Amino acid sequence: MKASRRQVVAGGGLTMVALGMGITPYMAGAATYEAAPALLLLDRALGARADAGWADLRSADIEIVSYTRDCGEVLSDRLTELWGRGLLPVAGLTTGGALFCVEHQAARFGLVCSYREGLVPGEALQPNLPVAWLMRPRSSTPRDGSRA
Amino acid sequence: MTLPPGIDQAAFERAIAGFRRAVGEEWVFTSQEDVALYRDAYSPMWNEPDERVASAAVAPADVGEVQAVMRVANDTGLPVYPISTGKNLGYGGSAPTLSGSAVLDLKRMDRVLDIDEANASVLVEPGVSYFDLYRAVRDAGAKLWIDCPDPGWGSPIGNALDRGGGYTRAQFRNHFDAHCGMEVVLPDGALLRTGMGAMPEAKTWQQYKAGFGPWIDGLFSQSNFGVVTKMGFWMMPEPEAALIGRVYADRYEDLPALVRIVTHLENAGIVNGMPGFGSPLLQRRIPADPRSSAPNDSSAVDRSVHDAFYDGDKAARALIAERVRATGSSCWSALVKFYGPERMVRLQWELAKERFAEIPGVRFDEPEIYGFPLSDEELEQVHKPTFGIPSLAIFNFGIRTDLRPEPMVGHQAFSPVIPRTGEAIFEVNKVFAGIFRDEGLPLPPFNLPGCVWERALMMITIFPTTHDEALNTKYRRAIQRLIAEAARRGWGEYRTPVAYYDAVMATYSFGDNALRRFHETIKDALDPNGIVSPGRYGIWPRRNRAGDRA
Repeated sequence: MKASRRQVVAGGGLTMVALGMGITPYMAGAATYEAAPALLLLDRALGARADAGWADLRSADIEIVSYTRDCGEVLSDRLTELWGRGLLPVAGLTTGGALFCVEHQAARFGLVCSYREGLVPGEALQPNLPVAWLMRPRSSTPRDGSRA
Repeated sequence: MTLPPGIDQAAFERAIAGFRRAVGEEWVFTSQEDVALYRDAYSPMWNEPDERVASAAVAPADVGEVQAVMRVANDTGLPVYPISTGKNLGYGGSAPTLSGSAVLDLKRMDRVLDIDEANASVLVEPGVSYFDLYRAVRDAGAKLWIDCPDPGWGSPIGNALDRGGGYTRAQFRNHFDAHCGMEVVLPDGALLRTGMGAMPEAKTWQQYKAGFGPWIDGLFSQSNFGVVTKMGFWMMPEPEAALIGRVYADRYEDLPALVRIVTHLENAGIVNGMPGFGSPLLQRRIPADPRSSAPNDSSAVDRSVHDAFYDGDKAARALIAERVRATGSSCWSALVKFYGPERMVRLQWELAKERFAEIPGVRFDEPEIYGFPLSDEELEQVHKPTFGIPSLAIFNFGIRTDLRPEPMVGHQAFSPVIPRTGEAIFEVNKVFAGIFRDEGLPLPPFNLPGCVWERALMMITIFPTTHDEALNTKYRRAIQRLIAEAARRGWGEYRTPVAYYDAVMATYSFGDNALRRFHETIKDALDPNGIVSPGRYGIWPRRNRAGDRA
């Protein structure tokens, strides 16, 4: 598969850049998607720590792709293949660390994280804590996809 | 937008126009939104005036386009900063050393050009990631292992050129040493092949490293003398088995013997995987332990024991001995790995145990034996890079502890190379502890080194990077002091974040900075206009050497 323009440009840690730019969540809750995600990414290792968030996500009735602890292969194979076909929203219930990786990769295709919510009350997002999130196409970039 | 010194807006626009002619309009990036994506997410100078930022990016598709970009850079004077996949997090990411440079993004050059299973080698382009290579090897059905660092999304070429390391056998986990042959676009646009590749129609480019005459490959690692567009690597044939052996020693004073024996076993080829050291009493885990690769969180360790490891005097040893007896946790542990036929690795483990028996009271666990391919259950549990499998699991681990409670967004590493002795480990810990105290930083747990390289140890200390300027300044000051104090004792860094390139280069000062001047002589000869990565690893072209490095 040939790299798209967007795949090439984003090489340097989009998560932190996005946070620095102050991108604001546009959703109030995990179950109210602007567009239905093409799939849900789930870290099975989270277990009971993420049950509440998982219940919200599962209610969406869409395909689930799961892994245990290491999102690498899912990210490099499944999501790359999915986003290579089109800019489809993806939701997730993962650790904060996996979100960092997914967001970094998503940027290469022109998607941004439009929603993130830590699932441990009182704790900020951390690499080892569960978080619910949604990646969606970056609507503010008209050329996304058109030159892929 | 920041422009480099000596480049005005008109020159920049000429360069951009030239880049567009060279690679096509859509592969030149100038919008703020696009260029911001090349910021170093882990920058220790985030949002400060000295944060290194690019002015643009250009992404060629092939060698011819790289050569065309170099011609434009020479014509206009706009420097370019080559990156492969741009994942060098902790050491600079994809941001240029000299602000205002254009990033030369090689991600589109992403072909695995050759997989030679019989001779266990590959030839790749810079945009190939470890995941890409792993997939290509698997798809080809080749029984070869890749050796990768913990985050597997980086590039074998990029990591090797930065002299990164991995986790399997010594000749593979030293990623630069594992390469065999390279292709380089020189700053003037000329194309060079090294080793046997210098011979047209060479049949052994990935089989014999040196070629004929001076072996120059090292000049293109940690440097700015050209743009590497192809590299060959030797791969590790998949072994029949891997054996993981665990060794425990109870006395504080056992560390020198433990290190000495491990070193001998590795140098003798009996231990042929990456060894490591830990401390069960201190809850210091061994890096790349297949059972648990999580970083340490020693916040629960009793402070008096913690301090006793630094003191190491008679009273401290007595306290440690008492805690060892009371808890049943050993003072030290070592992990040794063996790859090969099962009969052979079992014999190697027995031979190793005979040597470790020199240490009074030494104990061993039953060894773990792995066969391949690993089962799904094993894959979910083990440290994958130990078995040649790329992973991103390292990103699940935070280093925010009771000792470092502030929010962090990334990390930076202080990574000196020290002698491979227990005595050096004790001394380094004491010296660095003094600096931490002087700088008002919490004293980290007693540090144990990594064994990535043969014959030396690497004492990595991780510092957070944050979005708080005052905190970042405090950590940068501490690292600058550590660099200087370490150098006074003969410990030099193997690699450093961009912010410290000049400070580290200044410590390699033997003979009135003869090495730096040699680098500069080569730089000026190969790149008289100073258009490739000015300042990378402390090598500045003539035009930037008069303090013009903004």
